[in-house]
Amino acid sequence: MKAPLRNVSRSNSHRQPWRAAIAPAVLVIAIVLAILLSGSAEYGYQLNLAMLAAIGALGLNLVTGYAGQISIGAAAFLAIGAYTVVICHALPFPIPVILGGLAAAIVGIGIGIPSLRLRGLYLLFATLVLQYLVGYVTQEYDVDSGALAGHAISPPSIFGFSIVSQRAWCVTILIILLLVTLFVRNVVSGGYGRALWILRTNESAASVLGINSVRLKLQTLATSSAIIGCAGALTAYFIGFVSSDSYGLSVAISYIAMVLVGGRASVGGSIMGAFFVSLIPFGLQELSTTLSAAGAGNFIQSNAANLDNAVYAALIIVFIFFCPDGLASLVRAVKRLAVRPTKAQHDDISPQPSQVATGGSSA
Amino acid sequence: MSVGQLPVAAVYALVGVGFVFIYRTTKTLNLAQGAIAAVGAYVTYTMQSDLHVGYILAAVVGIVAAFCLSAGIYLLLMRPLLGQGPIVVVILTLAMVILLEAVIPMIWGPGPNYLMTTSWYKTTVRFSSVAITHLDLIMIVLVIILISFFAVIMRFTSLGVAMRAAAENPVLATARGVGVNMVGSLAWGFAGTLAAIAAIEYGSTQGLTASTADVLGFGAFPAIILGGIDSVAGALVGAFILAIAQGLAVLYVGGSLSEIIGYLLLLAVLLVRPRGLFGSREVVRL
Repeated sequence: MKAPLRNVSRSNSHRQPWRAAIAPAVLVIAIVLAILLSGSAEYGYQLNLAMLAAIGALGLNLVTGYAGQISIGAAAFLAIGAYTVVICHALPFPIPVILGGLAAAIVGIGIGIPSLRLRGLYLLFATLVLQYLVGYVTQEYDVDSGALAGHAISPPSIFGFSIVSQRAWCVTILIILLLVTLFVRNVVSGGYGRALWILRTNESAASVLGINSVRLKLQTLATSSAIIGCAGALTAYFIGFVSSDSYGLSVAISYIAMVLVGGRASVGGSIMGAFFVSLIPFGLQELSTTLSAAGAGNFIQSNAANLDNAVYAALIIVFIFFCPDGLASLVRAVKRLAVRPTKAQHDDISPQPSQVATGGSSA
Repeated sequence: MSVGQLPVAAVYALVGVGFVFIYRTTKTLNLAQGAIAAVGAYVTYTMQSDLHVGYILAAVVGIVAAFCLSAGIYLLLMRPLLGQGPIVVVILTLAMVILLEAVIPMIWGPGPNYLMTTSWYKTTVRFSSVAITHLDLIMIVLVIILISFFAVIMRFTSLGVAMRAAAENPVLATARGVGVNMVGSLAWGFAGTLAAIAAIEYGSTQGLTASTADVLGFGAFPAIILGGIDSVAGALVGAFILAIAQGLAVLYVGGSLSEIIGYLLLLAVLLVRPRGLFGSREVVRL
C-alpha cells in the first residue's frame, strides 16, 4: 500500500515491527499446539471460535483503534460475509470467503462516503444504520428463501481435502489468522501507520502534513470491513449454519469489547482481547457446571445469553476505568519491569493517555 | 392518520428532548437513554404488581428512580471520563445499554409486562375518524407542557445559563462559580425523567419487554439526528416526522419496513444535511 507519510521522522515504536509481532504469535501458536495435542474436540471448537473472533477484532481495531473512529458495524459486516457464503456456496471454498470480504468492503465504502467526510461521531450513526438495515435485509432473505430457522452450509474442501475435524479447522484458521496478523502489522507499522497515528491524534495536523484524511479513513474502513467480512464468511463455514438472529447489536458490542479489552491500536492486543472476550460464554458455561452442585448453576444456565452480554459490558466499563489501553498495556508494563527493573522505578509505567498511545507496536 | 401517530411522536419527542439536554449541557451522546427509561418503567411495574401502589404514585416512583439512575451514571461513570474524548464516553454509554438490557430480563423476565391502568385512562376520545385514549391525550398535553417548561428553563433562568456555560467551557464555568457536576447531573436527571415518562406510557399501552429499551433509545435516535442533536425544536419536529414516516410505512409498504424506515431517514440526513434540520453548524467538514 502506498505510504502517505514517508518523510515524518520515525517514532521509536515503529522501528522493529517484526520483533514486536513475535511474542503474540508464539503465544497463540503455543496455545494452539497444546490444544491440538490434547485432542479435545470441545476445547478445539472454542479455540477455533476465538481465533475467528481474533480475525474480526484485528479488522475492527484498524478502524476503531488505529483510525480513531467508533464503528458498531462489526456484526453487520460479519453478516454480510456470512450471507455471501449462503448465496454463493456453490463456488469452490476460498472464493466465497474472498467475495464476502469484497462485499463487506464495498458496503464499508458505501457507508464511509457519507459519514467519514465529517468529523465526530458520524461513522457511529452510519454503522448503526447499517446494523439495522443488514438485520432487516437478512431477516427478509431468511423469510423469502423459506429458511426461517437459518441456512445450513456444507463443510468446505480445498485441494480435495474436506475441512471437517476441529484439527483441520484449527490449522486452516491459524494460517489465516497469522496471514491477517502479518498484513495488519505491516499496514500499521509503515508510513501508513504513522499517518493513521497522526490522524487519530490530531486530524487538523494530519491535513497540514498533507494527509488526505478522508481518503485515509475510507481506505482503512474498507480494509477493516474486508477483514471482518472474511471472518464472517469463514465463521459461517466453520459453524456450518447461518441465521439472521446471530448478528445482533450485542455481537457488535462484543467486538468493541475485544478491541477495548485487548487495547486500542494494538495488534497483539486485538488477539488477546478476542481470546479473552470470546471465551467468556465458555467460561460461564464451565462455571455453571461447577456451581450446579451448589445450586447457583441454574441461574447461570437460564440466563446464559444475558449473562454473557452483562459480562462484556461490565468488562468494557472496568477496562475503560482501570486499564484504558487494555491488556496490551499490561503486557508492556510487565515487560518494562522485567527488562529494566532498576530503571523502571524512574519510568512512568502507568499506561500512556489513550489518545496519544502509539498502541501495541511494542507489545 | 397524523393524529393517530401523535402518541408515538410524543414518546419519541420525550426521549429525543432528553438526548438534546444531555448534549447541550455535557456535549455527550447518551445512547443508554432508552435503557434508563426502561428501568424507570420496570420500577413502576414492580411498584404496581408487587407493592400494589396506585398508577400515578407508582409512575412517580419510577420517574424518580430513572432520575437517580441517570444522574448517578453521569456522576459516577461519565464525569471522570469527559476529558478522554467522545469515543470513550460513547462506548461507555453503549456498554451501559448492553448491561442494563442484560440485567432487566434477569430481574423482571422476558415480558411482556403490562402496566395496569384504570379503565378511565383507556376510555377513548374521538377526533373525527381517529380514536385516542385518555392516557395518550394526557401524554400529548404533558409533552407540550414539559418540553416548553424545560425550554423556558434552558433559555431564561440562571440554571439554564449555567447549563449552557457548563457545556461551552466547563473550566471557565467552574471559575465563575457554576457547579458543573451539579448542572450536569441535573441535565442527565431531567433527561432520564422525560424518557421514563415516555417508557411508562409505552409500557401502559404496548407492554414492557426485553426490547423496550432498544425501541425507546435506538428507535427515537433517528429523530434526534433528523432534527439536529442540539435543538429542542429539532427533536420535536424530528419525532413528528419519524412517527408520520412510520405510520405511512405501515400503511403503504408493510409493517416490517416501519422498523427501519427511521434508519433510512437517518441515512438520507447523513447524505444531505448531516447537522439535521435545526442543528447548529458545529459539524466540521474536511
